[in-house]
Amino acid sequence: MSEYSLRLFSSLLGDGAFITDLSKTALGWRRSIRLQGGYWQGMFTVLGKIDKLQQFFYEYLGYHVQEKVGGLVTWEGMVYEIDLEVNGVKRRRSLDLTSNHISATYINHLNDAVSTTTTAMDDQSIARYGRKEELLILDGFPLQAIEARRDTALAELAWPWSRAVGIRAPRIPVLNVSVCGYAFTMNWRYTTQDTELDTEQGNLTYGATDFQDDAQDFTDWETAAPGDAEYIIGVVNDDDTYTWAYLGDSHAPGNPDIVDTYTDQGLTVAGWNGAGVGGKTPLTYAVYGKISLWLNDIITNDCEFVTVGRLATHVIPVGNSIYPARTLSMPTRSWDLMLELAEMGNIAGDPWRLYVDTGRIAIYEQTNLTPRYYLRKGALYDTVGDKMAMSPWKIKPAVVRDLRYPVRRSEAGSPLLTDIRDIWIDEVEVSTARGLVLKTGLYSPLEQLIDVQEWQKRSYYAHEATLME
Amino acid sequence: MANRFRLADVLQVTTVDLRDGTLKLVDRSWQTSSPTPDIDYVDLPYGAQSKFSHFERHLDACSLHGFDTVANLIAGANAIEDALEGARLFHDDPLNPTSWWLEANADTESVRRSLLYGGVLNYVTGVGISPLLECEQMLARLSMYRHPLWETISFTSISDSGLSTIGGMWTINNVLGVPPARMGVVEVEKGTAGSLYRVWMGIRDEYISLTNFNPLWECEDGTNESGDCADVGGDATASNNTKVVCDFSVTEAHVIRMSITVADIDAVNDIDFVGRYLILCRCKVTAGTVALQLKSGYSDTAAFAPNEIIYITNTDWRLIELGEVLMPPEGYWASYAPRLDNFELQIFAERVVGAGNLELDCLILIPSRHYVDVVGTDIVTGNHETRIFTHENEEMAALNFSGSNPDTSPELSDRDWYLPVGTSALIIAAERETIQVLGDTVTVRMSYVPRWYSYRDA
Repeated sequence: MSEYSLRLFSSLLGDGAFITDLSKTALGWRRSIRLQGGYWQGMFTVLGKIDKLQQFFYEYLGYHVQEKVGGLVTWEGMVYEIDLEVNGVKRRRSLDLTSNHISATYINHLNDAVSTTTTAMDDQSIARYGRKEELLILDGFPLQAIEARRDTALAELAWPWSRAVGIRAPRIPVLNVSVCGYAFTMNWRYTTQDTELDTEQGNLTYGATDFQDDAQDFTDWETAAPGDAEYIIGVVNDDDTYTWAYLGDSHAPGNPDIVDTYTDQGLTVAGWNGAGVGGKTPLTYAVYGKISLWLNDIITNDCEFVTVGRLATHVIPVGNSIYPARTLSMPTRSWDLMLELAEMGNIAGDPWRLYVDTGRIAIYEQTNLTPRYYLRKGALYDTVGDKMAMSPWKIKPAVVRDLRYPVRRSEAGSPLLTDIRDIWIDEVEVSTARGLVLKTGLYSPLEQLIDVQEWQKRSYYAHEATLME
Repeated sequence: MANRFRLADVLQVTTVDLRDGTLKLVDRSWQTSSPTPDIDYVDLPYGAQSKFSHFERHLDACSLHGFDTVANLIAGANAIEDALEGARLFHDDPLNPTSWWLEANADTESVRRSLLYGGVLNYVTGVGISPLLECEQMLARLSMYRHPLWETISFTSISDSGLSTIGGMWTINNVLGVPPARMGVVEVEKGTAGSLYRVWMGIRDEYISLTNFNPLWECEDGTNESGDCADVGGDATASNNTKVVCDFSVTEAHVIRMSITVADIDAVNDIDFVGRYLILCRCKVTAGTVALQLKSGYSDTAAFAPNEIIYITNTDWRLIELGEVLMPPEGYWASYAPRLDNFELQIFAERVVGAGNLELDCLILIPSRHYVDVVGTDIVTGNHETRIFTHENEEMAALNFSGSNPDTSPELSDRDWYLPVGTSALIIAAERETIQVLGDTVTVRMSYVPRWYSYRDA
């Protein structure tokens, strides 16, 4: 009896109803979890009668897969791609090849402006699979031609039609299923740029501990002092110097165009940073929001399957004090942007991570560099003294301390991992065939190929030994 | 009872006697053995550590001889081949309900049977013997692939009622056999009004003793740790009318809120708590989101073993899965007698969103070595029950029944769902779809078959 249960549910866009137990039918189940991203990818194979395989092939794309160990959910994702091989012909249905919400950007030669067409979409496909956007980059054609190209693309891609991908010698019918964590769906849409923090500006005036823009209402960007500043203001002066500060309370309701400024994120010391304000004349300014705020907006507006879980700890001695500008020079897919933001870490140089956890909730937190697992005799343990190894299915990316490493000291300089025995695991892969594989950032596809060949070689020799007995 | 050796369908309607039939067992030609274990080894310099994987399916073989008319010899061979085909069809077609078995017993031994997967009948050639049956003699070698274990013909049925849905405990005694028994069906029926939606059941081996094992740990029996947690009585919806309330007034951060040791539950009989458990916490928040984390270890340990952080938003009492623990964490060894009184569970909590309080009622220890949980049940007093099947081919399934009719298919998650030999305890917890109601009780009925490696000793 296997350690895990693997179950299939209908799409989470529908009722998410339980369909069937895959524990025994899903052969060769393997899946991975990443430090950045969380539940990542998985795959399994199904053998059986053609009618059963075809039912899976045509009905279960987009369905929800859940792995449980001892009552706890240890992995979940969406059926993302299915290959069905019958009589030697391999056909594929894939959400990767699907786009049901398409627009096109082009340069309008009448005014040389970058313009975007209206969106063509397939509502039924969106309702069935979720909104998956595509942006065509076209140029050199009139608008009518661009719109026609957009419509053609929609006709080609709106549904995950079965496409033949290869022909080989016939063998038994086989279904190969790829599942992906819901972090993948966070890249289905381009980030909505509905919040411009670069403001329309009137007359700008410095105060020793405040700032005024008589055309502005700062109430949207205020934080009660003392507290944890959610915005900073950066001012370019007419002498090309740069002055900046954390934003506190606005002077609303009487003067909403004035906002208090502080030198510290905790909003306890009023004033300005950078070039200061003495003798300076503000020329222009921008307001920047905290990363967690931006992440919250992206997840809320642009991630259909994921909800906000926890985006920042409320204990803020340090918090995350990077405040990026929310302007994008080009359309950017949401997960790509969020990953970039998460990998910025914080001002103190601490690494942070963003991942999707059980229940499709997004967690954004400082990466814990304290050893979570202890490696001993080829197995991982919860604590130093534990004698019962952890189930590989419960292992998540974290720092592992190698207790058998003979050297115990610190590295020179100020590394992130202060103990030389510690290993930062970026990705954990578990499979029924190979068990647990821990991957660091240096783990390469070549090493994976070598691992597979070594495993095949051991399997071959073990098989040969059996024949000789 | 005289000895028996035959093929039979599951209901024993159609049988093929291999001892006294047309084709008879050649004396002392039946080769069999106890099952072969498949074990994974980790080699060490001066020994090895092992882990049992499974029992291999078994190959039994015997020689059969017949001396009869050609028609009768053919009929005899066909009867055997019909049985082998029946076995093949049962495993090949889920709509075919008739499994086939090899039944056997020695003199004075009670009958046992083993599930057939298939087989081969080899027709042997010798002096005066050929497959063309010219001499009206047949010699055949029957090879049968069967289940590695033997089990009884009939089920043993037991039940218990009035089990609490927060750690109701049913002690099961005198389970015969050698390896754990197969529970053909376990039915859960409700004893009170309201529909149950989710059920957890675990069966704990006896280990040292079950006599004083208590799966229900009241949080107020532990220690409030963070200065902003306090025992609050007078809540009739809480177990024992008392709960621990944490208002986060000292800190909202992720710190220890409550701890509880085995000694807090039973300082004398701590060794009765040896086991592997899924910890359920009956808890709720008054508003917002709270992150909970379970840690475990010995009280003076610097580093407790953490489980995953769970986020809760429920404002009604629910059973929340906090994680698994092993008590004791280093295992139990004959070379010393560990004490568990210092084994501690800690609850860490952080107020993540909003300004609500956290309320902790109790912890429930669900044994997770032999474990099942079912989601989507519809267990109502009267004629709505959930049945969990372990079929003869080890396939498991769960169905909700309305009267005698299957109603819906709930989700089933299981781990080694078998009944230990001797004495064990079934612990149950259950809740409704959006709330856990203290007064809900259930009746559990079980039909199981004891199993053996070879001969039955009872």
